[in-house]
Formats: sequence, C-alpha cells, structure tokens
Amino acid sequence: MTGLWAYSITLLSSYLAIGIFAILEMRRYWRLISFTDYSLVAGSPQAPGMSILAPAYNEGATIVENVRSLLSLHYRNLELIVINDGSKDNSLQQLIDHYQLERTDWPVTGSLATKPIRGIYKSANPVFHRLLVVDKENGGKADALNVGINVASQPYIVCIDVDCIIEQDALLKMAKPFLDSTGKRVIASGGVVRIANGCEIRNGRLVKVKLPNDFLARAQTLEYFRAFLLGRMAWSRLDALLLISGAFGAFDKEIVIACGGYNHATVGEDMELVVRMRRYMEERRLPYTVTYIPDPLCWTEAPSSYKILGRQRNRWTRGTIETLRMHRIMCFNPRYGRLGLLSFPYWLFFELLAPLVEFTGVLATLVVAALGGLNVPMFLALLGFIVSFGILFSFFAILMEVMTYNQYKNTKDILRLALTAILEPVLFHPFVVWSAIRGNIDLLRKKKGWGEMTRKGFAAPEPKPNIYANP
Amino acid sequence: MLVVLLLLVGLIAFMLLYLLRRAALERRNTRWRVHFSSLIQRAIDWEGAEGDRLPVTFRASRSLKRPAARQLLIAELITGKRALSGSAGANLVRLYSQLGLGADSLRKLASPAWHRQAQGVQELALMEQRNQVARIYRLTNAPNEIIRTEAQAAIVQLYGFEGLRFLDVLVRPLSEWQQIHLLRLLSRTPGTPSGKLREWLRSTNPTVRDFARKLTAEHHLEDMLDEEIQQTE
Repeated sequence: MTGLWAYSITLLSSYLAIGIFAILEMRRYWRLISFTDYSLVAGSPQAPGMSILAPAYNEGATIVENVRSLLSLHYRNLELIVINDGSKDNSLQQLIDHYQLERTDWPVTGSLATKPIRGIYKSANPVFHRLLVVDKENGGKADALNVGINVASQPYIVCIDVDCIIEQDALLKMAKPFLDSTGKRVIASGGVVRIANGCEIRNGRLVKVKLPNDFLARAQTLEYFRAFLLGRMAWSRLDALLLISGAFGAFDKEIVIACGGYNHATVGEDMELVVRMRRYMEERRLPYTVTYIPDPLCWTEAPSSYKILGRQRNRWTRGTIETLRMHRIMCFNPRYGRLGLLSFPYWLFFELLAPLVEFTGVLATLVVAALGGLNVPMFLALLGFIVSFGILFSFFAILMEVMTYNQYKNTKDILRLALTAILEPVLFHPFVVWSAIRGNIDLLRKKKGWGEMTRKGFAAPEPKPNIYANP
Repeated sequence: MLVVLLLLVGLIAFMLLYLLRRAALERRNTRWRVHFSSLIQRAIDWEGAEGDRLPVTFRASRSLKRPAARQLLIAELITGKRALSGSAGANLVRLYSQLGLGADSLRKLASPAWHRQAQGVQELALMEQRNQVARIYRLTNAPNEIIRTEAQAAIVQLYGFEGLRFLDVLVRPLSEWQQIHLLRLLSRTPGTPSGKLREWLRSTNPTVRDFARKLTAEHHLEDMLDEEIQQTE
C-alpha cells in the first residue's frame, strides 16, 4: 500500500514538475524567437541541405496533392524523396504520370540493409528537380525510411508521414537548431504535431485552423496540447527528450547511419531511433543535444473512430515496451546521465506502467466492492481528487496554448476545449487505458503488425452552391 | 481534494481574467495603432528642413505618456524602418529621436534581463543611434549568446565591413546561423572586406576562420585563401 502511495505521489509530483519546466522552457523559447528572422536561411546558399523522406504505402488517393504541397516548402537546399513501399495501388504510376518521372541511375550511397530497390525516378521537368521517387519492395515504414536514408544526398534528413500537412516555413525553423549549435552536436530536432481534423485544407495546405467537431478528435487535440506543449517542452528543458514524433522530425544523417538507421524489429521505430542515437552519443562521451521546436509545424489527421484509435494506441504501447526492453541497460544507469536516471525511469513507470497500475486498481476496487469491504467515502474522495487533478492539468495545457500559439482564437472554441477536458476522464481516458492493456496483451501474443490505419483524408470544404447560376 | 478543487477554480478564474485582459489590451493597442499609423504616415511623407520638427498629433503625444504606448510605437517604427529606406526611413529615425524614444531603448540596454538588453541593442541599431556604438561594441563579446549576436549584427549594420573589427578579439564561437546573418547584412553594404581578412583567416577562433573563408568565397577572393593555405602548409 505504501508503495502505491509513493508511486501516486511521485507521479503527481512529476506532472507538477513538467508544468513548471514547460513554463520555463516556453518563456525562454518565446524570448529567443523574438530575435529570429527565419527568412535568413530561406534563400541562403549557406543553409544546410535537407532531404525530406516521405514513405508512402497505398496513398494513391492523395499522393499527387501531398507531393505538390511538399515541393512548395520554403527552403533552398531541399531534396524530396518519396519512397513507394511496394504499394498495391497506382501510387507510383500517378507520380510518374503527373511529375513526368523517368528512371535514373541515382547513386545509393548509404549502406543500411533494406529490401531491394526496384527503381529510382527523377522528373524530366526541371520544375520538379527537387523530387526523387524510389520504388522498392514492401518492407514497412522503418525499411522505407532506411532506403530513403541510403538514397539521400544531403547531410540532414527530415522524416515525415506523407499524409501530414507541413507548414510552409517548417524547414526554416527546423534548420535553426542545427545552425545555432556551437559546442554540442545537434543530432535530432523534433517539431510539434497538431490535429488537423476539422481544419480547412486546400491543395495540400492548411488554410484555416478549426477545432474538430467530433469529441474524439477534440479529446486528442487536448491530449496533444498536454504531450507537446507540456511534456516534450519540459523534457526538452532537461535535455532528456526520448521521443521525436515519426510524423515530423529532423536528424543528423551521419549519426543515424552510424547507429544503423531505423529498426525493423519494432513498431515504435521513431522512439527507438532517438533512444539509440542518444545512447550512441552517451556511450562515446560525445557532446550532443536533441532539440525541440514548440511551434505548430506539422498537422495530422487523428483517428476519428474508437476502432482506429484503439489500434493506434495499441501500437504505441507495443512500440514503447519494445524500445524500453531493447535499451533496458540504460534504466537507472548513471552512465547515461539524465537519460538513465530520469527520462528512462519516467517512461517505464509513468508512461508504460501507469495504464497497468490504473487497470489493476479498477479491478481491485471492483473485487473489494463486491466483497463489501469498500470504504465508499474514502474511495469517492480519492477518485474525485485524481479526476480533478487530471482536469486541472488539461486546463493548464489549454492555458499554455491560449497564452502562446492561440490557434483556436474563438472564445467558444476555448470553452469547448474546457468542456472536453471535463468529459475526457469519463469518455476518452478509460478507452486509452484499455487500448494500452490490449497492447500489452498483443505483445505477449507476439503480435507484430501496425494494424490497419484507415483515414478519412483531408477533404476540401464543399463549394457553396451558386444561387445565381442558371439551372 | 479540496486543494486541487481550489486550484482548479483558481486556474479557471485566471484563464477568464487573462482572456478578458488580453481582449482589453488588444482593443487598446488597436486604438493606439490608429493614432500611430497616421503619425508614421505623416513622418514618411514629411519634407521639412533639417532643423524642423516633425508634426505630432495631440492624441499621439497624449498616448505616448504611457510606457506601453511608447513600446508599441518603437515596434511600429522598427517595422517601418525595416521596410523603408531613403528619406522615408530617415524620417522614421528622426521621429524616434524627436520623441525621445532612444531613452527607452537605453533603459533596456541597462536592464539585467538578457532579452531586454538584446532588444535595446536591436532598437538602437535599427534606429541608427551611432552615438551608442561604444556601449554596443562592448557587447560583441558578451557571454550571453543573444546579446552578443545582436550586438555583432548591430555593429555590422551601422558600419558595414568596418564593423567586422570585433572579429579581431572575438573569443566566443560564431554560430553558422550568425555567420549567415552577418553575410546577409554585408551583402546589403557597399565595399569589400578589409585588409584584416588575412588575420581572420589565421584567427585562433576556428569559427572566425570559418567565417573568413565564407567571406573570401562570397567576394571571390579565393586567391587569398589559397595563399593562406600554402603558407600554413
């Protein structure tokens, strides 16, 4: 019982610490960017070269539009590599037809082991000179990214999900930490991912930010506030960030290759790569850092059904367990500094074990209640406390958003977010916990797959009928 | 539980107050901006003699008794100065001086907070306050990176290639970002690098050497670089 109390108090204290560190880091960042002119690198030949790696599997419905959007990003030394991971649809043919692609003998300089490449294509049209399309046998996201790394000719790689909407100035902001660093080598930089459900998207670009109308997407919007504006901001302050979202992250290619690239053996390849890169640097005692940019740089479509959300959270849980198991040597190991003593144990105890502890707690409460031994006033008081604390944390995340980026300017939207924060502990959180439990069970059953992730896609709003038009 | 509930209520109250205050501040700033935009427009169009004073409306001068209004006007002038050159830009500098806004920037320069100091440097440089160059120059080797980089940029902005003399004594690193920044500022300045370029190519600070190499490439002085390499070898 004492252990459980200690666990709960440490968990709640860590949330408070995250809140404080997030405030400090956000304040520092806002002050810094007031002196930053990102247009400096937009046209500069001195800006470092970047290769965007966009793996695509059966993205035929949107691939042409997505590539067009990526080609229009503001950055001079840019190379866009689309990796067709053995799609069964007509993705490749669409790209060939639309971008006038021709087969080429592009040098594959990297040495990461991957599934065979079937062909590399470049456009005959100089307008699309930045584009490179690699067709390969299906091997999964990690394998596709490794092919991209092997093919990339620039020193920095930016790994993205091809169906995400990237802000036009995202790469300018991503380049800054790599150019700013003088003492420590910046090995990776992460950006904020935001929920695009409900937003107005036209021609692959975000036109207007709107709060999602359905509760599930809104709850995830709130969850992303907590994760990106509070959690990652705080870990960034401590220079102990273990996760950069697979949807948008920049990496030093040399270190990625030295570490062996993405790992095929896990479904959490994004987190695993960051942990392995950090471990590589720590073990060699090389000065390094992983940076994080809190600006909204990437917009993604969140699952809008419980079924798809469940699969996503199941996969995240399995990915986290696999990563922590692969690098368990770091846990409480002073050789890895803050990573070993702070970040890794936090992930183990409060990200991985928390759903298990919570689920066990619910089961135990039901059993005790059935046996008639439940102290009801005490139970209600503790339940009220923990639910109120959760709501408090969500409100704090909303406040951080309002005081900083304030993407949802309408007061009504803020009130809707506040209502979501109140309903979330009942309508969203239990499902997330249950999905995490399912993830644990699936891992025990040695399930390896991602699970099908169908998306609705970003449809442009229907044009209003012209009432003056002739019938 | 009571404590958490109180905190929750407190946070909600704070959020509401914050939203109300922000809306009020936005309304006030919009009002001030209207006054200041006509003030700035008049300054831009002004064609008076050297000793004449620029016209300042009663409303604008009344608003300027408030420090927040003065700060807003400085920000507006800086935005204007960045976009305008020639006599229009010079008139904005004149307006800044006439209204005594330099004192506000100097107060920032004396502040212990790094971001305020850096802001002060930026304002003084953009508003061409050359009489403050000694104070700014001292900051080109400051321990705080932002103050240092702003001061370096300010000196280059004011004196072009001559301003690069801080490289002679720079002991702290010059980041790649700052090198790009300085190269862009220099690209807008007439002239070529001074004879000090050879010294910088031999500097004990590796980032200064790196910057000097970029300067030689930018100004097609590769011969000088080759000579230096041969001598080093």
